[in-house]
Amino acid sequence: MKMKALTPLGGLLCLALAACGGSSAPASSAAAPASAAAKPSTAAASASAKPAASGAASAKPAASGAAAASGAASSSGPIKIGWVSSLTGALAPAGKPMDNGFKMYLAEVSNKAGGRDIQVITEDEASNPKDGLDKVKKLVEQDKVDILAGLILTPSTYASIDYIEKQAPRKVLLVGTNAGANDMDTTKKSDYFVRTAFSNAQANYPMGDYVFNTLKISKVYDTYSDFAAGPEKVETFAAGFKKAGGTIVGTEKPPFPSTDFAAFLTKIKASDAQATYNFEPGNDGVQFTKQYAQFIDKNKIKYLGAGDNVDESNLPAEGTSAVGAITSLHYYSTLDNPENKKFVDSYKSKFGGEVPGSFAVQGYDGARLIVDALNKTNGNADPKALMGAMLGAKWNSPRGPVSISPEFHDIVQNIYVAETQNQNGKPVNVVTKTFEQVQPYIAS
Amino acid sequence: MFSFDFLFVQVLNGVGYGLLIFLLAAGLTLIFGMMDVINLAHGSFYMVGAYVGFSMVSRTHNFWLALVVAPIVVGAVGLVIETGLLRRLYRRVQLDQVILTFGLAYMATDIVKWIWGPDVRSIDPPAGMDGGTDVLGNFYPTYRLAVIGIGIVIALLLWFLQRRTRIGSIIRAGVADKEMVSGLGINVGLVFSGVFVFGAALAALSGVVAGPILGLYQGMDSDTLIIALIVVVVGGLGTLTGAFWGGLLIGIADTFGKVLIPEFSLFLTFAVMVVVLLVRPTGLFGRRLA
Repeated sequence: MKMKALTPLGGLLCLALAACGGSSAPASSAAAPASAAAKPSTAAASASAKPAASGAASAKPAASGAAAASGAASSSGPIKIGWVSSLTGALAPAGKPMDNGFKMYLAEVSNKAGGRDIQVITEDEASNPKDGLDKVKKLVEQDKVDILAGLILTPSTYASIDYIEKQAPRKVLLVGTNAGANDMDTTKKSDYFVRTAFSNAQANYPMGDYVFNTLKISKVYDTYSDFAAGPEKVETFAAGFKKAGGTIVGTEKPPFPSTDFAAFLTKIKASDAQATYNFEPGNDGVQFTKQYAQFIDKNKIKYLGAGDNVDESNLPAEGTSAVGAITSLHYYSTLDNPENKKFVDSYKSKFGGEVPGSFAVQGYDGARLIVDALNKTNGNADPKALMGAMLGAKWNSPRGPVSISPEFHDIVQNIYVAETQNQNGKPVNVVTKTFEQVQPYIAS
Repeated sequence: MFSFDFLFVQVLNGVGYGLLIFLLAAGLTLIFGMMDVINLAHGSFYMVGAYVGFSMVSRTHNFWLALVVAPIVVGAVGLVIETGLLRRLYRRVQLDQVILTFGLAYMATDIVKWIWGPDVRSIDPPAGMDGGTDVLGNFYPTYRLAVIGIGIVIALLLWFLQRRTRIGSIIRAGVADKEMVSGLGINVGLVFSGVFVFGAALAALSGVVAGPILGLYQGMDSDTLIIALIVVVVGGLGTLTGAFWGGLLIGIADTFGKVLIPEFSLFLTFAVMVVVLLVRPTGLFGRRLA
């Protein structure tokens, strides 16, 4: 009687594991190892931006003619933007606010740019690289979109850039709004990819010097979720920290996703570290932070790390367990500037009082960059013309002044250090330090 | 190389996690043992229980009330599913039941997202248990000690129910030979409903208990289902004793895997499962196949 039951059970385990493998896919992505960093690049190439931009703009008529001749993307009627975000699955807490931010900006400009209407076709990446690439293909080949934007996962983004460069029936520009792999600025840089998110090194390398010289901490225990972004973020911190004179006394790499961190935390507690530097996104960050507060006294071993761990999407669940964390990121909702005040107010009123985090502002800025570029090209969505209009673009974002580096096709932005404080029983990230205009690429 | 205190705390970690996953698996193994149904919606019962518990705790701030209400709510859902859907499939091949519960699991994922949204949530531990307690000179999270207590109490309760009550003897007889039990004039249909509802309620209870430690997030249902399936397979299909020792074995192996060989901790639980199945193909406490 039980015999026949055993056979399907084995198959079921495989089935369930396969399903799980899909949702935890970032773990399997081959991450380029973090390049050893030496000093932040000071090669701000904003001077070279203007000629490039105006040059491309003047080439506009020819470019649009070519697009029309190839008969692919239309140059009249609405501009179609193919937008991909993870609206379901484990990464929906990041994908949903990114989607909200993107569409909020477009609504602010009444879905118009360069004298044309904008039509957004939304697809779900479903927290899974395969879905990400499939949706991008569908948008290009079936919907014939003029511009691509979004993607939460690094593997989806790599695959999509590769697809556009090598397979796509026509070239389309992709505006990346979340994937942060460092090599997208250099060896994987593309003429068809520009980023309004961050690079993994950007927020973490400057923390190395800050932790050693300002916080006066010399022994740090590193922890990170073991998938693409984890080593890139934390190892670039470690590179900066060691260069300043600090010592990494240990590194723990919990599998991603994990829910129970007790074994790791007990090890850290038994070490002689003065602080930990942590990166665990999503639910991993929530559980890590809560369990940290239960196992370890933050006054004895300080909680430092990437701001992702205490992002607005995590804070409500973390509650006061996050208090005392010192983190760095390119955006905190508490930033004091007029653009951010307007952004936070309008986001909250639009989305039921929800406070926007870094993902929302990345989507918002992605839409802004596209709209500004289309205004410059008078509605021409040819990838070369658009890229020309985007490189060197500058604007005041809710995250402070930003620009697109013509050298790296990536965003130059302020990096903030924040301490999570208890304000009337609620955790609030209070900005304590600003690194001005940090380049995305940290030279090795 | 490790101090006694360090090892002691790691054993506590392992036992705590082991009892937690025993709770996750208990309902699954109970339903399978009695009904021969592999309930792939088990993780969904766990998830819905956790979210109902979350709503209760955030409104009433009473963890213990949530611990009672969530199993009742989910038990009621289980009753509707058993009487309305599953019952029709008992005479069909097992794959039909599997497909039904798998489909229900997909629906549950979307329904939960629709009601509670995609954000990560967490249940606050009961009042007075969010700090630490001194255990033999070691500061240890109080709620984790409570989980160990709850796990042991429920294990004893289930053992008592199964070994020392009439209902328990009917269930044990049903596991051995369903036809004979119904031949003795016992309403097997009613027993099936009862076991399914109880299994669902147990899943919901474990969802509330695990909430403060493992959290509430998109995908928690499939993660939980996999862990529960591993525990059940390691312990032996259909036995509560097996789920108990299987849970403890996996919990301790997972914890010490993270301590000693962190690089392999991800698949260590699977390695344990493979070894157990090679040595004892029916699991630690599974009956040998004739």
